[in-house]
Amino acid sequence: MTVNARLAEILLVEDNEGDIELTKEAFEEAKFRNNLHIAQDGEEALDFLFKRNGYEDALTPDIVLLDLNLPATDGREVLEIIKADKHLKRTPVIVLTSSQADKDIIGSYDLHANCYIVKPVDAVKFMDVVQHVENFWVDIVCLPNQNK
Amino acid sequence: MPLIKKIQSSISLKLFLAFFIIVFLSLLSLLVTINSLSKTSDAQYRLTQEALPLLRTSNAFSLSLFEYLALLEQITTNQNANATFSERLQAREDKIQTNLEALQEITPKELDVTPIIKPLEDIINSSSQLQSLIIIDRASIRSTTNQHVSNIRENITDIRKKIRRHQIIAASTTQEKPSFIAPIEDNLLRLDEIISQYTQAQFLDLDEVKYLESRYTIAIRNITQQLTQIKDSELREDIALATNQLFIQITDKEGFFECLVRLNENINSINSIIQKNKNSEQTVNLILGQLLEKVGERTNSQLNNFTHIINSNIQLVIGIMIIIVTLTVLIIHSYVIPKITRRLQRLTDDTNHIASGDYDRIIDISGNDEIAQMAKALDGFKYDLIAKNKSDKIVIDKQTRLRNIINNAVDGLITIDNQGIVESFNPACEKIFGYSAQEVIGNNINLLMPTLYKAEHDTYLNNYLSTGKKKIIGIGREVKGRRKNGEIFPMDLSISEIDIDGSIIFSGIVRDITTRKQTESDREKLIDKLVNSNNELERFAFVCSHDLQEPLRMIRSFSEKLQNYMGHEFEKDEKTKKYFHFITEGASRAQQLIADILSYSSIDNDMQALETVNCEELILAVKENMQLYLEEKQGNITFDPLPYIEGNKTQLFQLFQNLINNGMKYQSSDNTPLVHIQALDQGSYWQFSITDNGIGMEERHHKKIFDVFKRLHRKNQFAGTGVGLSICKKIVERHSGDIWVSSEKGKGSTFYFTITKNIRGEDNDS
Repeated sequence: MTVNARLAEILLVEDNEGDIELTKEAFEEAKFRNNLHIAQDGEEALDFLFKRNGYEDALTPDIVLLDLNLPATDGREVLEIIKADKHLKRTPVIVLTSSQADKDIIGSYDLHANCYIVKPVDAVKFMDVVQHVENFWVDIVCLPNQNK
Repeated sequence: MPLIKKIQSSISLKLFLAFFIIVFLSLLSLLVTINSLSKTSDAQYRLTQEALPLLRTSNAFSLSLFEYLALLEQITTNQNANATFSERLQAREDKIQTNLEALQEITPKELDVTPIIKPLEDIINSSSQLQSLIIIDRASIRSTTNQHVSNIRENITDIRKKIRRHQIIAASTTQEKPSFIAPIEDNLLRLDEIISQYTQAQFLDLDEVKYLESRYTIAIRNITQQLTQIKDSELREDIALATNQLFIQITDKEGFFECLVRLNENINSINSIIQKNKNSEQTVNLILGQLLEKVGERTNSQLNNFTHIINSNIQLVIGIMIIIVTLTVLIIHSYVIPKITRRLQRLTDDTNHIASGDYDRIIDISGNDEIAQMAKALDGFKYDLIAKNKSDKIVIDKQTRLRNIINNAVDGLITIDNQGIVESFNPACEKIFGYSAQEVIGNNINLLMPTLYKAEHDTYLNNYLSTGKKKIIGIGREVKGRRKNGEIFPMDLSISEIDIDGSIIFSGIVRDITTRKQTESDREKLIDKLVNSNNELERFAFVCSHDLQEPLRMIRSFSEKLQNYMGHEFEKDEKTKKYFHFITEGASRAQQLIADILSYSSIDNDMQALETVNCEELILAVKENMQLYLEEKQGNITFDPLPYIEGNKTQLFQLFQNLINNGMKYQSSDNTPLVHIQALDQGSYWQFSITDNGIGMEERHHKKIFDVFKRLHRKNQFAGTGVGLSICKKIVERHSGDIWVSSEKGKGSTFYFTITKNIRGEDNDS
């Protein structure tokens, strides 16, 4: 409701270009207006979130979609850093990954991930899931506005 | 001159004569003493002959008197005294008479026996009185009393019956229960009780009799009072009559209670007679005792006379003896001792000193006589002692040390004899087996073995002792032991045979290896598990990779075919182009991944082919492979002189290629890539380094980069699957080496790895 009035700021942290493409298309078809930012590795994501190294003007995202397997600084570290930050920890982090390992699922929740979603293998379902995520996290959920 | 002779010659002939006379005199007095002694014993015998019969007779007399009195007392307690009793009493009286006569005859004339006759007569006279009291008086009183008792009971029963009958009639005519019944029955019960007290006790003292009489009278009065309450005149008369009868039983001449009083008097008179008799018996015994005492005194006074004579003779002999001894001592003291004592004293002192361990004492060995010889012997003995003490001390020291070693040994130490009996058992053994040394020593060693081994062990021992065939002796073996709590455990046992002065003992060193065995078996299990899972994983990777290639090839080929087929159409649409790109890109990436996995998992499989490899040749081959790339980038690969090493050539080639390739690849686009290779001799291994001038990396990634699939860069920055360094690591580890990196972001990296020189030896060890 609060978000309805403005663009939803979404940060997608993903290194696989195919998945980036699919997510982009899903958000383009979404009924709510949104602003999708993409970070292709952990460092870039952190730069964006902490508004540094060229991202000084970035907005704090309303939600973060985070892949776990990233080069160099991987998703787990990014998650840990987000949830350790006094302000950023309010931002819901949706883990979106191809790993189905218990270790990753439990590990993510231990690091206070807000939800954990396994990427569906086929494209239709993938799009479906991304749209569900958007419906829920953008439309239904009441999010903190941190860009006042 | 020998000492003895000196003494002999120094005693003069005169002294010898005097000595002789004294001895003669003393012998004489001894004879006198012996003579008087024999006289004494004669007299003693005579006196005994006189006194003994008297003693015997007086005893017999006392006994017969006692028996007589016992019989008399018997009738006082026995109710059924009869005629045979007086016959038996007469017989005992006769016996007393006979014994009295014998006593009078045997007593010496000067001693008077007559005083005992008076008390004796008293006793015998009392017997007839006692008999009449008991047999006649008491019997008649008892029978009268019993008659009263039965009458009283009859009357009570009569009254009860009548009352009951009346009560039944009353109940049938529904009248209430008449009020007189309960009080009358109560009083009847009281009368019953009073009678029972007599029948149970048979004897009541005067106070009790009086008390019971008063209660009886009250009960009768109570019943009489109730009579007025009875309305039925017939019943009233009947009960009044019966109550009167009850009253008559006690008011009559010789009534019930009077009888009880007389019974009491009768018993009292009997008791007083018995008491009198006892006093008389005492008097008799007292007189007899005085008699015997007098006889004893006479005998003693005669014996004393003799003893006196003997004593005086003995005193004489002792006096003479003392004189002899004193004289002898005086002679020796004045002639011989002064000379000898001094030297003897000195010798005694020497001996004491040596005995107390003072071996520095110097012994005087001058002279030629016995004392000198003793001194010389002592001197010799002293030196022997010194020598022995030294060797003893060494032996004791050694024993103490050995015991300490054994007691503090970590391993158990047991010794057994050739029968298998345990002779020693050290503290470590106590700890291992849970038995204390005391519990085991003296028992057969098979106490410490599982039942299964016991019989086997005896056979072992016997076999060895008879055939000399060794199965375990001299060699360590792993066997099973049994603790006190029954637990069976593995242990290392080594046995050695020791021959001590011809007897064979066996000593065993025991080590509890429970923990070691457990660890070993745990480790083996773990290794098995790991090997299994590793094999499975490799097989899986291998199969997977091969089978996966197939569908991927399909995707690639047919997407290419589709692209060609669409031709012009395809070029027009951006989105289609993009999607095709993802398809072919994904498929080729998957192929690359699979190829890398395959190569990674196959490293283990060809470690057989070890050969000597010339590293410089390898680098040149790598360089040749990369020729095009090097020309394009203007890059260069250089190296210092490199050694020949032992290893798998294909793998080593891959190792160098991957590392050099990385050095060339991770460069910023404007840089001229340079890679330099060095080798350092570190003794048992070679340390290689591959240094580049590339982009470097932060320290936090230094370890992670060797993990499978771990990448530091995006695919669009630097292509790759993240397997290359994992392969390097695996190859180095297969060559028993280490791999690591030293790098800083923006300042290039140096990869180090080591290769063991003696890889074949290492391989054999593992």
